[in-house]
Amino acid sequence: MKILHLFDDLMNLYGEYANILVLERCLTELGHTVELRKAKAGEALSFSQYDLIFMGAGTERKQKLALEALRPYAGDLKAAYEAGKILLFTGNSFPLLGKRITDSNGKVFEGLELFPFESTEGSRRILGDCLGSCDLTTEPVVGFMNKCSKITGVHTPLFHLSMGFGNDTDKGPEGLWEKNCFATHMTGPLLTKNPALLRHLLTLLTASPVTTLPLPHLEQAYEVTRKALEERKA
Amino acid sequence: MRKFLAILICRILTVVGKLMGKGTSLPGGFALKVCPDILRRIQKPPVIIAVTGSNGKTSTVEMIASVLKAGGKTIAYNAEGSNQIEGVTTMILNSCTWSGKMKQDILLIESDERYAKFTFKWFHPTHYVMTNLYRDQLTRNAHPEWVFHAIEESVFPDTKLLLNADDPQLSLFGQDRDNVVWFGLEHNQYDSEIFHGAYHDGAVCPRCGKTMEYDYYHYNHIGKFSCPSCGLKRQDTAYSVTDLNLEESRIVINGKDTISLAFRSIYNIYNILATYAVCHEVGIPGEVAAQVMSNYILKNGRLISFTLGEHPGTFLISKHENSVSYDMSFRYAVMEKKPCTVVVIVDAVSRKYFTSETSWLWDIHFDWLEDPCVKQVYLCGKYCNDLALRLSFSQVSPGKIRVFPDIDAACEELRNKGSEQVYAVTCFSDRMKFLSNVTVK
Repeated sequence: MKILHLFDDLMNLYGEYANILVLERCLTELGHTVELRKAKAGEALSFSQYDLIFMGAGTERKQKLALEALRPYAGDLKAAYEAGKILLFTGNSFPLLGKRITDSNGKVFEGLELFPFESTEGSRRILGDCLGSCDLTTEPVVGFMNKCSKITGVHTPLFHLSMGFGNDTDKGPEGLWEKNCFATHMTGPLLTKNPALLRHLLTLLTASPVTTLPLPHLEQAYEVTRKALEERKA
Repeated sequence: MRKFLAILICRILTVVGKLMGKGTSLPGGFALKVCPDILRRIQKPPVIIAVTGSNGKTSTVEMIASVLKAGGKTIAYNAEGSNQIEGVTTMILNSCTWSGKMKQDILLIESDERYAKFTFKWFHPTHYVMTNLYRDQLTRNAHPEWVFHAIEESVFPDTKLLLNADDPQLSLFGQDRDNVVWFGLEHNQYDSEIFHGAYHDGAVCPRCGKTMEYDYYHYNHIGKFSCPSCGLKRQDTAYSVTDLNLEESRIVINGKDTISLAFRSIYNIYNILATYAVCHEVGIPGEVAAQVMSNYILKNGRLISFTLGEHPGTFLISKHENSVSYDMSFRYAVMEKKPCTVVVIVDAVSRKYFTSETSWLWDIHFDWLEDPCVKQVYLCGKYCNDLALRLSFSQVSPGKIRVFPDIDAACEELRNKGSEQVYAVTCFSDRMKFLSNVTVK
């Protein structure tokens, strides 16, 4: 099993590296050998050999550095996506997959254009706990929104939030799900907070149903957070 | 007339607020509604010192106040830590005459890092101390670069900046600027050539984004950095800790003033150094500062001694959502080399607002707790499972770890078992949940 973690030194906010830790641990416990590559910006990349490609959240400035580092490989990334590779882009790595990003000064950055959506950054931060549903799982999803952009032009969202700010509306659709590309602004880290999503990705990766996780505290932590958020919402 | 009215309202509401036990922001808030430019209209002292940064603001301001007073200066300052514009306004309007004149020698302001721009829109500090920029309360502060840009809007050319030279992000404020005074630690025996931490916020240059180099680290990303690509580097310091001995609890500043430490933490040393620097800049001799700060016990005491059954204990106040503060507490605990149990409590993430956000646990360097002197680690409170998950990816042996949703039950178990040193590490928000179970000395 081969996993590529893109730019872990640049896009290192909100404990995002833990998404890869839990995936790696679970795959190992399931009997798979995991080969993890952490790629730095500027290193030569090719995506076809990987089963999962991940990038996490960073500052707005570092997000643009990550964008420039990925730009030469945009075609290769799109080919990997079209070939059904799993792409997991969380936090503000999500907007990189779109057509363009406009920053808070109005400067425009062309995106990697895997999808036709657009992202517009503002000077106000959008912050808050999130609770929502997801068509991939029957359990509610939980997480946190810490972003300064709105995204328009996504037709296939990943989540439907009942608490928290979605792509461009409060309590609206959030993220993007097309084929095996899962992109969301939600952090947590996503897979450490949502056992059902972790099981779903493991099922996809191993091509056999994964129903239990070797991380008992993860399930219990999820229950505590879900209850806290549901009480908060009520 | 509006000025007088604003002062009057502020003072009446302050008296009423005190009777009702309310905070110190509200009176200033009302005064600002009555007279929005009141801060400009007040005649302020010739010296205005502001202090901002992620950590150490309150401690630094408290020490600066003590040193200035000992040096014979009269001062006005926000002792209660209400550090947004409303709290600052309350303090100023309660410190001036009815005609709006401040007669003190020095105005000293602790300023919230994100909201300093609203306060300093109306007047500029003459001296602006910045302690550090870390990941702190990211559920409100976004990230350190976001905070950097917020502070940037409060920095003006006529202000002398006093900057921590060892903090790369913060050092950007001093680039291409003449009126800046740097302070920092010289190379010392506690430095490491290897980075210790769960994340490295100095990995890439804050100016050009290329890989940075470090000669050594004092802690986390604080140290002697340089960028081979754009030339950003740690600047030479006017105020330096030239000798540091944590075992003997003392430091020497600029090779001449020795200060005994009441709290042996590198953290605290930066606050002392910043205090020394700014007080010296406004004319207080170094020996006065050294004398006042020797064995200085801070009011918001980061250290509390207690007993739990047969256990002697030390409570180390940390801050939730602030990984560096946890790293510092763990480092302190293992530095003492006593066989110990470390209790970590995360029950309410904040006392001021609701959140279930726990990503900051992944930023904490729990590997410190794999030190052989740590015999047990108790993980307690509502978020004990998040803690346990996090620690299952650290170097800490699973056999050391005990998980307790119920803080009282954890204390009960400890009370009836053993006599080793206990270190309790948690935030203000969860402090009493632990301290109510122990005997505070």
